[in-house]
Amino acid sequence: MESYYTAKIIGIARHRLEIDGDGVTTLVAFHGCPLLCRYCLNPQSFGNGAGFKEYTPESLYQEVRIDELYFLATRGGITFGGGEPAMRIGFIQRFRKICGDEWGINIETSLNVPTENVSSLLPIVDTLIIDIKDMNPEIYCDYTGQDNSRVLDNLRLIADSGRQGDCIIRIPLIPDFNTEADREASRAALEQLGFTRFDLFTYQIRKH
Amino acid sequence: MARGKRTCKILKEIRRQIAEANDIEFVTSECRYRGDCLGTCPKCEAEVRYLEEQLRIRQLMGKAVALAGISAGMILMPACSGASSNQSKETLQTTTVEPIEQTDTIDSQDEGELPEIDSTSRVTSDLCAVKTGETEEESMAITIQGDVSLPEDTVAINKNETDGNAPEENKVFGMVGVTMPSFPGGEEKLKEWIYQHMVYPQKAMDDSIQGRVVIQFLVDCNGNVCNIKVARGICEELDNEAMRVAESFPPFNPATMDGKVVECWYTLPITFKILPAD
Repeated sequence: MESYYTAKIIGIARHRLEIDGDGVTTLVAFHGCPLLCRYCLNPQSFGNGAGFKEYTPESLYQEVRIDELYFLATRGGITFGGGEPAMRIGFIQRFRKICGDEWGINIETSLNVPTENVSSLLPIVDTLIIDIKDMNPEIYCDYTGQDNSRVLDNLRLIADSGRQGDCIIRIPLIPDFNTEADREASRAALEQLGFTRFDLFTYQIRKH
Repeated sequence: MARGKRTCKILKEIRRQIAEANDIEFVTSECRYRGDCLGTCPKCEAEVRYLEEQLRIRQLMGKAVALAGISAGMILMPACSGASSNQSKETLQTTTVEPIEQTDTIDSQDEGELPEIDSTSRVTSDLCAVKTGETEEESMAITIQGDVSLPEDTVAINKNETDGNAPEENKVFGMVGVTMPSFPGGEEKLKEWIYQHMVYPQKAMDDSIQGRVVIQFLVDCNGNVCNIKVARGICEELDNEAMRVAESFPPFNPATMDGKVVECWYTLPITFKILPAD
């Protein structure tokens, strides 16, 4: 049974290069997400399907430490994605204690979680890869089915913590949902908050 | 190029750099497999295990090991800060879509499963102190968090002794006693030292720059702190301040292995944080 210190994980991918943070990284994808995005890349992250396995931080560490040499040499480490890793703070906190400070820990997050979660994660996470969708609340709601007020609160929290430089913000062009002008508006709003690292791309629609 | 080949080449180059930096003889051969792969295979994994074993032996001999960040520049995640060209957008689009395709689900993990790594572990101890600034206009704090990382092989020895199920090749080291370098008086004194000597650089404070600087240094056989370097920096001012404080450290109690004094690397993260004015 999933608890504060256990988690359902839908996939582990080793040797990620240039995708999920600097250095050699291993992607660990959690089950569970508060959003219902139209073009979700990992639809197995929600629902009650059987495509996951339960881990403790200890058992995950046992599995991923096989690549420690690469992590240390390239300043890489673990990227927690999903799903929404910022919902798994207890797990990640304990994992950080186990793996120590020499591994990098990144999270790929929508930031649509309580601010307390982000506050807890900031001290132990090196890089936040933020999938912002769109800063416009209406577009965001249309695409994800959720309100983005918590996203905005968390962006301000990160800015107030002076951690903008540790964030890479993905701003997608979402077919049928936003436009290039919307994306520029999102970028401008984020720059106002002091964010400078952006990843601009277009969602590629795939049939699952 | 077949899927996995590029990953394979990059990982092999990292292994080569590790070997070169540590004067380890490393002979590899060109992979003849032409199909798709995971970027690694039993032969690649065997090379990693070989390097780990060679590094372990170097540490047991009291030699310094160069590993942290030696290949850091090879793989950097692309992120644009200016206007993207169409080309870079295409690249980013590809890398964003690919994750789901490359993610191995749990169901398919058995395929290409690799050998278990031999026992490695680590022990950490945390330090924490907060220093309030002395400026009149705003309160300032330095949050200092220390973390002493032990060499993996050292802890593996201890772990194996506890578990009683050490791999055969580790038994020869089973009775080795290890102590790590330590600040005179212990971690509390180290914390006090940093607290008393650290000064938040004015320029960094003015620019609201904060974050964690990770420094590394070698504690030689006489306990002297030397070869201080920034393993992960933030900005010149904070990096230099962390280095300056490390340079002020008195001699440590050196590490010992089986009663013999050895030199040892020490990693110390220091977090700079500006607290809001009351």
